Amino acid sequence: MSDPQTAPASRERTGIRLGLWARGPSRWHIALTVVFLALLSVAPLWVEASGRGYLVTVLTRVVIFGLAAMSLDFVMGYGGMVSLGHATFLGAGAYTAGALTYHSLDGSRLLGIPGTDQALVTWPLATVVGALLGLVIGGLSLRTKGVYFIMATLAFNQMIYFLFNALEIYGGDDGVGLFAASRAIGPLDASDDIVFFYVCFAVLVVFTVILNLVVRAPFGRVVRGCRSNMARMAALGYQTYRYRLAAFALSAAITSLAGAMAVTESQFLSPSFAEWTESGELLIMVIVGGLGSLIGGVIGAGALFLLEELSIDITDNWQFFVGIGLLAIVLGAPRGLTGTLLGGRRSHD
Amino acid sequence: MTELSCRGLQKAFGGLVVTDDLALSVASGEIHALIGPNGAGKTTALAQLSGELRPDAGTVWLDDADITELSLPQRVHAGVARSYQISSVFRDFTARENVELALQAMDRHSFRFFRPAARNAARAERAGGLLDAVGLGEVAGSSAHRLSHGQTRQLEIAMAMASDPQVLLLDEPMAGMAPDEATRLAELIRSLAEAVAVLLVEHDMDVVFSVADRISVLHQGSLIASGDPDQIRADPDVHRLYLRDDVES
Repeated sequence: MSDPQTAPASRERTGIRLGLWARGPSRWHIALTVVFLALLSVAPLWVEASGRGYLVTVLTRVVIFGLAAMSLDFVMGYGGMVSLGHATFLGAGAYTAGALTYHSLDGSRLLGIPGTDQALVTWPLATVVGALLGLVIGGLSLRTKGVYFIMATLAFNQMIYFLFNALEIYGGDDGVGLFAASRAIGPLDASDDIVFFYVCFAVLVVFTVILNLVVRAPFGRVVRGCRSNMARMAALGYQTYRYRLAAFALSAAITSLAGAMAVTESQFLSPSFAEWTESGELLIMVIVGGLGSLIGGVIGAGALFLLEELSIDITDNWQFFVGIGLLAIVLGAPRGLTGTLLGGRRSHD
Repeated sequence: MTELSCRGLQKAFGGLVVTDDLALSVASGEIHALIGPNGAGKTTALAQLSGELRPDAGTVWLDDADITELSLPQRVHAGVARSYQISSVFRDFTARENVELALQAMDRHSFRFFRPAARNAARAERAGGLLDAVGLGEVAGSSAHRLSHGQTRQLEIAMAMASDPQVLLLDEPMAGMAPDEATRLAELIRSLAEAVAVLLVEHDMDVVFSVADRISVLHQGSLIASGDPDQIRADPDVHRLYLRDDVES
């Protein structure tokens, strides 16, 4: 038994009481998360003041796609499940919210239910649809391993993409504009871009807190253990499949919410949300930002959109520069921007 | 008093019979060593007892309960734990977190999403106790990848003990250990066996003959001898097929 008299033991005990916020290695990671979110929170005011108000919608997209990338990082960086199919959930959320909005503008019904463009209805509904779809797709894909898991998620992605393409009612592969829709969020009218940014930002903050708690909670430890050594987890007595499936469904739900937010933002519904290159783009955001850091997904989204915005003035082939940037990171800083900023400190407890 | 036993265990990979009509038992309070040349099927036998491999035929019993159909995690909850020949601790967790993760596996479920795992003081204390028991109290806060080979083997034992098992299946726990480390681990296993049934697969014959109460010799998937260390030492078949001149002392 440990001796309560010794100094190291009592220091240890204080650490346990303070939990999340006092742990040495993760303190830096939390500081980075807070600093980055603080910078992001004043960014729209800054671009507006400097006469580049058109960048506010870019920042909103950083927030929305950063949320999706963060939830992909949760399954990939912490759970070791490399999904090349997260655009499936982005698309599912977009089509849930988009279809409801379309029918509210049209006055028609969707499966007997009247449409609505109220985000307090469409966003939660998209989250639930994403969770259910995540259970089905994850349930089947998680029966495979390694590269086959990647292929399984990609296969589902393609199926969903072509399903959306076939939905003639929503414009097939052209998609459909929803420009007449309101951006009502409860009693709040968020048609102003700055107001809408802050609504999305609040959602991002909530899920950043939730996911950071989850990865440190008993559930998160199990998920991280499964990434590290699944056979051993089973030998300890864990039914690994359930925990991995739950993690996958949680990630799918959040990504689907981001999809719904994206369609409310762009007011345009099209299958491109579910295109598999979108899955790849989320992967790039996570890797650029730093695998297994959560906030890295948002930082990666910021870097990617910023690079796009900067280089699009110089050349239409901005993806060329994305390629160079990605190579520089995988070769020079494999732990991404977050890992570089934290200087090799572990990003979680 | 608990007894793990198997009868008529049969397993083949394609045409290769790796377990042939195997009957074994191990009861609490004893160390039963399973020895045999490389490829004799020791690890395969262990995997069928632990639930990782399904036998083609035969039955595994825990006391009077038929546990043949139980999966590996289910058998852990029933009281059968194992360690691995190749160390498989969680390298990016600390020693304490490794043991805590093993303890947490005994909760009914781990669908707990918000309270930090590190805040569970009772569990941290139990983990500390187990680490002290295997002699790792000093390095509880070190990352597992910083531990020496011997320390990693000790951590393996602490993790296997975390489920409070009635039966412990140890696959070459001394592999690659320095002699003095191996001696200490042998003492630890000896003390564990006072309350637990230990099935030990081990190559180090000095250790086997000094700690085991019973030894069974496996050859090409079937038992050729079983008895106390003196009987095994004296068995002519065992000498011819396996021991040769290794253990004359």
